[in-house]
Amino acid sequence: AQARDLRLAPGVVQFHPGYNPLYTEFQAQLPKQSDGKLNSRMLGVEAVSISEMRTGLSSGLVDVGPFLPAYFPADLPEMNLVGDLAFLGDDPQAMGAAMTEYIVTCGDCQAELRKLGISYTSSYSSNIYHVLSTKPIKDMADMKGMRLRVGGPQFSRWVEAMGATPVSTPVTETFEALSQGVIDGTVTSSADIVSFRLDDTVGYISAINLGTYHSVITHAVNAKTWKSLSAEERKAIAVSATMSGVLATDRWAEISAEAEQKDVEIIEPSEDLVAATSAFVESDLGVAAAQAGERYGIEKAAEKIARFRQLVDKWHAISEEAAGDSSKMAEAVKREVWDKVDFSTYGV
Amino acid sequence: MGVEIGLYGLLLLLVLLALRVPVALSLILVSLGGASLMFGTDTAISLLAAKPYDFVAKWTLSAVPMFLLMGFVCYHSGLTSGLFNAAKVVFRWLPGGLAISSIFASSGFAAVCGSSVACAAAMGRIAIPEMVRSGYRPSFACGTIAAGGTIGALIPPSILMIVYGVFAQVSITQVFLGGITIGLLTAVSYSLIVLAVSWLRPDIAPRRAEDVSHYSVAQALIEIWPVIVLGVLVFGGLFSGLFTATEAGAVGAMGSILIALALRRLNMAQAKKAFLETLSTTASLMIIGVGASMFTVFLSLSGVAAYISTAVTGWSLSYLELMLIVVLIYLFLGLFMEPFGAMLVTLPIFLPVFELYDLSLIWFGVLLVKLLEIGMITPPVGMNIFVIRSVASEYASLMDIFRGVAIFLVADLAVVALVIFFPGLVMFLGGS
Amino acid sequence: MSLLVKLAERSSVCLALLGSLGILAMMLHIVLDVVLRATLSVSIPSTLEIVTRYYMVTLALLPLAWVEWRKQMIFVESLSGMFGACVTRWLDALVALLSAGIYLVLVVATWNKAVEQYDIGAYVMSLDFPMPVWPTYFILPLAFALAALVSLVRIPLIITNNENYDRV
Ligand code: NA
Ligand code: NA
Repeated sequence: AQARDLRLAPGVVQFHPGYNPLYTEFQAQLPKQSDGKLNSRMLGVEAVSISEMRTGLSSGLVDVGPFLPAYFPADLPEMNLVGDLAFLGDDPQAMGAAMTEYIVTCGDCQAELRKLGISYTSSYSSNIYHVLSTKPIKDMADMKGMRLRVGGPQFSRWVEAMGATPVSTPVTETFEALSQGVIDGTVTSSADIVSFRLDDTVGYISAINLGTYHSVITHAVNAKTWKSLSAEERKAIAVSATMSGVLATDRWAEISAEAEQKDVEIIEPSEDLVAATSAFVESDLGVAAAQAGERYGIEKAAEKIARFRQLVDKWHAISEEAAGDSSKMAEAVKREVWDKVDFSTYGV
Repeated sequence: MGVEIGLYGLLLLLVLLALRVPVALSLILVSLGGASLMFGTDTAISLLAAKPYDFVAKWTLSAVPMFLLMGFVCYHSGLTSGLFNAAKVVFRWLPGGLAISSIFASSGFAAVCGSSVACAAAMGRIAIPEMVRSGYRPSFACGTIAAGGTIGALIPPSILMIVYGVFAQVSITQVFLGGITIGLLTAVSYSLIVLAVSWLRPDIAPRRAEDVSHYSVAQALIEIWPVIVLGVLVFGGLFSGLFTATEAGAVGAMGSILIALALRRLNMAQAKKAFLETLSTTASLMIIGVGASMFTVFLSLSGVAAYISTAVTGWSLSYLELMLIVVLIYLFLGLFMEPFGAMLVTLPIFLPVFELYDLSLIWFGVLLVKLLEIGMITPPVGMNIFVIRSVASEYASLMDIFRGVAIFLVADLAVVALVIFFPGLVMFLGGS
Repeated sequence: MSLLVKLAERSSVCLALLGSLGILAMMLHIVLDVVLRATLSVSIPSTLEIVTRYYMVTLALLPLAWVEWRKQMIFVESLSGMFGACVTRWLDALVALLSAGIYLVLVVATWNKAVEQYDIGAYVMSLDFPMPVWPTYFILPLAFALAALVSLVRIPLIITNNENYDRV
């Protein structure tokens, strides 16, 4: 039989981990996992960028592309509920896997995805978020009056709780805003020092653990395309997505390590800052659940958050066992998630 | 098949442009049609119809209307009218001093105005009559101002550079810094031309000015303080970190309005003119940007962009050969195209090539704006020439002005060659 | 017919007024944000989102019909000399018809998008606040529809050499 060509749109430039390995590995895995039935070709970022992926997928141009709910929050309130809970983990592989299992097994999430016209396969996670700043941040007093860029609602609430001011700056303007002194720092993974060349302006990494950014669908599949595939082919896509996702998570960690070798000082946070952050996280879960109900009409938000926390714990344990071997993580996701899914009905 | 559709698309684009279809609509039509042929009408339309919104809803682009407004307010309220007198205090003793003064007055005006047409119009009304009275040949006087006007788009703020930065995804501040060098270089090169003409042909540009009026340094400063204050406000605030380059536009526009109001130089009619000109310039530019962003998608999907860049790489041109081609293409397009159209139609093809050649896109942005500005003073379509013709119609015909400006093209080509042979020239302020 | 001409003209003028207000509001908003940040170290909430989604969409796209009415769409004039005055007139009428067609396609496409965004109540997160953006999507079909109307109304005026685009 002749292979079917899927159109992939990574939506980012070639040196970004969201392209290589997230899509290059996916492209390599696809024919292997599908016995040669599926092939693919890549569309450039100038054709469809990540912020245009919603249109790209719904127009039918893109068969498989990454989907960031942050750009289109109104589409996926159920996914945002857990996706926005940044502070729950300190292990990116575990967060990616927990997210994958949660979304695959969450009926309300699947309903909103169906309405949006995409089929969910996999999530991955950024490396741990810290504060990258132009002035040193060690304890609570240093946070006072700081203007910090944030990229998500929970980070925003944390910055406010620490007595600093959260700011929204376009990601492309972060460098200029930092070097102008319009902002004092940015809450993100240290990998950004490399990806956005912030090392000329950022002098300090405050190594306080601020969790992860895991609200990402790595390989969202156009629902029409998904319907047209056989159950085996669907599983091949899901497994390929997971395999490339764990590699990309590793790649983020490598870049972070590289960034920390640059000319930046890494500052261990004081105990009061760590304690205040822990206190914030506990109380904020209630805030997140209440907001989800009031603002977006999500039912049983607290229960859903509790279930997600259980999954985070579960995957934390599995990840510890894997001890940094990402192929073992991919294997575990296949065993715990994909082998239990009935692909003749899933995501259709 | 895709590449063929892409190439036919390029051809169709040229035909539509020749048939007087607006640049924006030509781009949109070719993109919609081409994408429909490749992927079906529904896909093409729903893909491209998101572009108008996605293109204009950008933070950096908000600087375009703001800097335009600052320039139009300065112009209509006459805040900049003293620049010429001030420049005369400094340069009048030189051979051809009035012409050189007008060139540096344009450079000063450039610091508050984002486009070259506005700069040429403003300076033309003030300087041409006086130059002609002092014995300059009218065609040369008009040519000097038309050429000097191009500095308006080189010295920041520059609308062309902002739009380039948005498209090439490079730091606008960095491109601006390169613009300072190339703007001043251009001013100096034009002045050298004036000196030479004045030396060789005093009948065209007198060596000594017939003194119309004497200005002291103090008087000159009094006349130009609004511009100085505005410059200090915008660039001082920018470099001391009070605001970003994008925000500087709004601060500058507000500053110009407040100063003009304080001096009682801005009435309702002038304000209305400034706002309406800002609006129509913004809207007509933005819709071209929308078309160009659709065209980028079409070229990418058809594979023609990759096809051309692979072909160019296949020729394994040297840096100088590549640059020669680029210069010739832009000089050719500049003959008949308006700079935004020429820039946005070509960037989707050139940017991938330059990335392959590992050229600095900041440096290229500066060179590109210079090349496009040359097109403003070449026949048959030279916007600056048309503007000078409309503000100084009693002094020279269109042909006279084209003849008068021709000598300045020598300086332009010299500057272009300098920038190509010594890329560090425009990069040293920018650093990275 | 003259009713249509009047409608086209009136709406163009309205759009120019709206766009100018948009420019003024954007300027005041950004300056106020800068001043408050520099003096009191506070920011106006959602400035980024309001500027990009509301002001920019309004002032960049909405005045399109007015730009068409004033014949200020940028086009390549170089070959105009090649055609006689009469040919140019008919050519311009055809271009106006073509323009109207393109605008109508954009009306349909952006209208569908706007309805979809309305249905999901589209918003963007501005820090911790969900800022609604769905209303801004309706600006586009409106802008393109008015531009189409102006283009169509201009056709008989072009053919009869009766264009009077200098008013406002
Ligand atoms: Na300028
Ligand atoms: Na020209």
